[in-house]
Amino acid sequence: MNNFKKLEEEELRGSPLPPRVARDVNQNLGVLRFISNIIELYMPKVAELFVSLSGGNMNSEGTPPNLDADENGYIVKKHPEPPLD
Amino acid sequence: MSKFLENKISDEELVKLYLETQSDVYFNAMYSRFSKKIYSKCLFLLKDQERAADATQDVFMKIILNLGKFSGKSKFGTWVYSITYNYCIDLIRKNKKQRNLFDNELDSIAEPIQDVSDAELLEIKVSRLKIILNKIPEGDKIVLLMKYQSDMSIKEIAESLNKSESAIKMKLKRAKHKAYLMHQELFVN
Repeated sequence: MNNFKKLEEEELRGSPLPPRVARDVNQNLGVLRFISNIIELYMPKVAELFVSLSGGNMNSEGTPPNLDADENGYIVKKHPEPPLD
Repeated sequence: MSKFLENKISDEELVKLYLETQSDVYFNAMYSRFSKKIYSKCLFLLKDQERAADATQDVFMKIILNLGKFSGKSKFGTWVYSITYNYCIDLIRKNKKQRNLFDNELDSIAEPIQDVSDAELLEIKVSRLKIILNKIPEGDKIVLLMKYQSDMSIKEIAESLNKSESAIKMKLKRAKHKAYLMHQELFVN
């Protein structure tokens, strides 16, 4: 061990790391986890709110029941199904 | 488990495990490996226990928040100490209202620099070294600590301080020279 590293060890022996640092770091980490959980939980709801405010609807899946897509991918009106015999 | 974490897992593996699991066990292992050294560096540079404790806390949060950016190009310890030094440099700059600790006006003056070997520097007694480091300019002290205390290569120091490798080589040479002169002045003559 060189003299620079010995100096570092001596410094630590002279003034050890205060225990409050560990406590504060853990508290900060807890706050961060709480915020990230909140974001994870409510972010989809916020996105949904913006979509609905702009007139859209995130709950509908695919095209509405009276519409269909043709072979080129264009939305067209569904043909009424032929009556069953 | 803690003994296993203390001895068997490399720092890089520990980071990987923490990122995968976000487990407190791995976080605590990282904290116990690095917190004391971070504090020691902050204390030596900031010279105030309260400020050093606050800085250690901030540096640790910075590390956790940026853990995903650790590329693994360097050792994890080197990355951690690089963040620590840069954080302290910013605090010293703000405190002294000095824009750049590494562009010393005196450095641009052409003065003969004696080539001081590593052996000459490393044989200085610890008690004397502490006094010498506290008397030379902050920028010189930091490059010496990066090189000889944190085992950072010239390339790693250059990347960390955003300087060229040749600038760091010259800075290190001057810092060693200043430390040597200070030793001569205080303890030999």
